[in-house]
Amino acid sequence: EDDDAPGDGEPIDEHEIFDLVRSISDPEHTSLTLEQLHVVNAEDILLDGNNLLLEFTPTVPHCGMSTLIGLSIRVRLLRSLPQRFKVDIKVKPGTHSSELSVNRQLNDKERVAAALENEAIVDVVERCLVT
Amino acid sequence: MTSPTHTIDPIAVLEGHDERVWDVAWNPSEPLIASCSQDKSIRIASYAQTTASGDLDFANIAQIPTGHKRTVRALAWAPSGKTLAAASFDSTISIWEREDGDGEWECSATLEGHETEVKGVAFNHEGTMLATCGRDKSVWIWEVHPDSDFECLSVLMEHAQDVKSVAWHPTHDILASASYDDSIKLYIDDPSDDWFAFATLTEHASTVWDVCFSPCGRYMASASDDTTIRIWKARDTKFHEWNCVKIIEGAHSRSIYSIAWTTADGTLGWIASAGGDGRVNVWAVTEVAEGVDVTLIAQRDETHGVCDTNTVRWCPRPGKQNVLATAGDDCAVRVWGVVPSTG
Repeated sequence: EDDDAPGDGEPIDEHEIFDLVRSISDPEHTSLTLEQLHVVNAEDILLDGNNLLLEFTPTVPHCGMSTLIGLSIRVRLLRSLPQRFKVDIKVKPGTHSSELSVNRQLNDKERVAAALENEAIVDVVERCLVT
Repeated sequence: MTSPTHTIDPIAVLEGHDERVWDVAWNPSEPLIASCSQDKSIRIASYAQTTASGDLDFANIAQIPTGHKRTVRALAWAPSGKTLAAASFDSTISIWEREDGDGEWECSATLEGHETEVKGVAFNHEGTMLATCGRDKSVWIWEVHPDSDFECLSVLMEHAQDVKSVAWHPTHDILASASYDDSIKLYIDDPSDDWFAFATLTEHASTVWDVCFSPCGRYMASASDDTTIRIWKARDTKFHEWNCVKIIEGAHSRSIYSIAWTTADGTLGWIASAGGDGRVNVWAVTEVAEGVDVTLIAQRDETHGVCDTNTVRWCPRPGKQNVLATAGDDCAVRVWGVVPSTG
């Protein structure tokens, strides 16, 4: 839909985006949120018109959950934001040993679409998004 | 861009898919166009020229619930126009034909073998072979036998990553593949041995989404996530050596998903590109001393509203080669005419 904001009629800004993702659960520590673990931070969200760049910081540099975290963020934003937004999700530079590889997967539309047809992956993502 | 000489004018919108449309394919011999979607179906529309001025009218004629368990990602018609192949994320390829040329579309074969999502499918120029590719990093070559019998001739594991697309040379049995490993590979059959990759083109900086040959077969164009298009020229008459002769930059602000090349009088043809920025570009390509010149003749933004444009394909029918179809994330297929600007 073409609503400008999920709620209050204000134009969407970085804070709105942060509000959408802060409460996503970490796939490994499900009682903790991405905000609590400092995986997502308001200052790592960059909005330029309809172009959104969100950088997240994995909990540890070899974090095997990074693609799942990135995917959960993407699904939350896909479901909440108007279609006009072009969203890029990346690992904050210097915070992951396979940064390039994780970024490539998270921003390959076809890989994301196929992952979201995989029931096992969808189950994990949905559990992260309950909160 | 200096004053564009052409515009991309809307001709038709084909609706009906419930989810994003990934690919569209024009039947080479009949007035039909097929589309496939994340909704796991294939839709077919027919078209006719109903007025003297040449306007085309489209009508949906078939909706095929393919039975695929996941997204149907890519389509290819055999040169005869009688067979349609569909690649699915469920790791299989389905083959569709119509009884008596006018009845229901029926699945005459299901090709198994890929381990994960199949992403590309293409028939060679004679319709004697089918190529498929996918996330398992492989390219398969199948021989087409009568009665929808497909025999696997070769499984090529040359790419280091996911293979996004395959395209056959227009006159020779040479195959090109585009990959997430940032390269394009070219394959040929060694009659005394097996199919093999004879060239790897590594100049793109990111995933190569699509590749196509020029109608004359002496050139190739590739589209990449690095937001550039590259044009390659064959250095020899056997098409074994290829060099990049042109890089088109700045034409798209996001990943370029699709590229297609059609004939156009007096030139090497027209190239159309489409991508995540929703833009479609059309260039006229002319031959110069060491390669090509490209002139942007038309450009249109928001071809599918705010949504991505996934595929662009030229109509192959005589007299209609300036007609384009696009498939988008807005769940629609759109048909356009590239026509000289008025005024």
